[in-house]
Amino acid sequence: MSQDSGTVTFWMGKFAAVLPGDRRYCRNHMWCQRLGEVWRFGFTAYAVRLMQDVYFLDWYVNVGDTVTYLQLIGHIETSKATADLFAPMAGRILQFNQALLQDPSPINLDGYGTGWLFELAEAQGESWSNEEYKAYLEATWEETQRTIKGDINR
Amino acid sequence: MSEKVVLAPCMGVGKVVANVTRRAAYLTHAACPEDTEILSIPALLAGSEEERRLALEHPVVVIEGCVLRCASHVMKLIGATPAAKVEVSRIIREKRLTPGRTRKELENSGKQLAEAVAERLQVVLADAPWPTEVSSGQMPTGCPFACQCQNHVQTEHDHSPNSADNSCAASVAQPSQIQNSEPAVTGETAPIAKGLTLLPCQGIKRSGARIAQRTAYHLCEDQDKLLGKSQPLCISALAAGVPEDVHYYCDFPTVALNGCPQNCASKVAELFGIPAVRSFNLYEAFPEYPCETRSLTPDLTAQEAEIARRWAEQLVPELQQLLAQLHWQPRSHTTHGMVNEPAGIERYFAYNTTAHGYEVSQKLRPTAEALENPTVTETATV
Repeated sequence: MSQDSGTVTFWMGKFAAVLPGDRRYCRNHMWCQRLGEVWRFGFTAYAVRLMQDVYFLDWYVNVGDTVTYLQLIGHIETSKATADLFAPMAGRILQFNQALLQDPSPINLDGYGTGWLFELAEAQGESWSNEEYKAYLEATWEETQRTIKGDINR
Repeated sequence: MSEKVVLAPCMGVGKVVANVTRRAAYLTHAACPEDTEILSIPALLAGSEEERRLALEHPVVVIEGCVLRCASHVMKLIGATPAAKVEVSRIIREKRLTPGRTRKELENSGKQLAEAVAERLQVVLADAPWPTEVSSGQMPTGCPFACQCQNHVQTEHDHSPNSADNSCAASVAQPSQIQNSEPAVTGETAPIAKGLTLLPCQGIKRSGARIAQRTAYHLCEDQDKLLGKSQPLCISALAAGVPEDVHYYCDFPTVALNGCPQNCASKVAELFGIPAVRSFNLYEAFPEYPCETRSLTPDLTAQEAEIARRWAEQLVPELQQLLAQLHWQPRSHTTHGMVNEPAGIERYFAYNTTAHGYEVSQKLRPTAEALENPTVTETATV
């Protein structure tokens, strides 16, 4: 994906988490991008860096289901963590990225492109610009580092 | 099977899954000792002709631990083409097995995963031969890598502070000159190093290599506070141009832990323009230990584990002293043209998935017939 002039970078130590300016960002470290009447979601570079290699991705809801904000919708297991996934916005599930169920590696390799997760119709909820999301990351980075310290050498 | 198949696990040290690839290679070789040999990527990258011939003259099956696909990148770097590829990440998904979290010794889940990978390797071996031809076996001269650049380093190069010899990449890349026997000083204005890049020998066949790797884990996992930001870093990832690893190599001074007199860790560091500020050698610390003995058991022997523990204990005060005195500035290195492109390497080797859960390369290499008669059209089918 080409980086437009609105791209900003959040530095996670030596690692650059690129935040493209052509999309919005959610508190749970997902990006969202409007494609006509549809919103597409995926993990931000920040989230992917923390999770590292994705092993499994499971969804607990189906296409056509209506989900509420922060509803439990899935589960992910990576080399660094296992975590539940929550809806970043309310809306109706239009489709999941089926390719990821066979091979989730695009999440690591092309998180803003082919590694997208799912699409919502009638999406409603708060989202931030990349600058606002970066500010949120900066405000929470110290605590995040304390949380992950001790796991860093694994 | 008409000829030996070479197993090339990614052999990293950073991720647990890399040790799964090692264990899978050990298990497979134990099951088929006459039909297989294991490739030592560190020795290959250090310029071992024996390892290079294995890679260039035999069908190679790479065992990729993660999506970075370092083993395939290394094959490209030396001008070899893998015949087939097994991806541990695919088997993780298929079997719902994870490698676990401990890299020093694999947990049960990691061992089960390694067994599943070994089972897949047996399937691969049963399918041999594959459609691709083996490499031509032409040995490059000068730079040991396919780039044939002039950046290769004389390993006997004088890195003393007053040396006038600046002909090697290492001395060009490094902002200061380093002695191997004294704590390195990069100038009074440079800050004290906050951590070390521990570069253990990561070989897979010699006992000393296995001990060096375990020693590095002891140092970085058990002595984390002592060694600051120090990390054991991966030779394969360095050669594969993985940005994070490369940055670490550039930002922190390299300390090599050599497992045997081949000194592969030190040689690799020099070849990539990041010569070690200090090299510690197992064969000097434990001169009575037969470090060059071939050792292929899936787990370290009790003696290997004990020597690793003792060597780590010996090294702690020396590394502590080094960290306290070492002034350091970030440096550059040479990747010999390699850029880590996980998707690109798939296209480069034209990997194609088989029905048996692994990939074969469809990249055509010149056959003897084609070399003699350029009009011969080569085809490959899967």
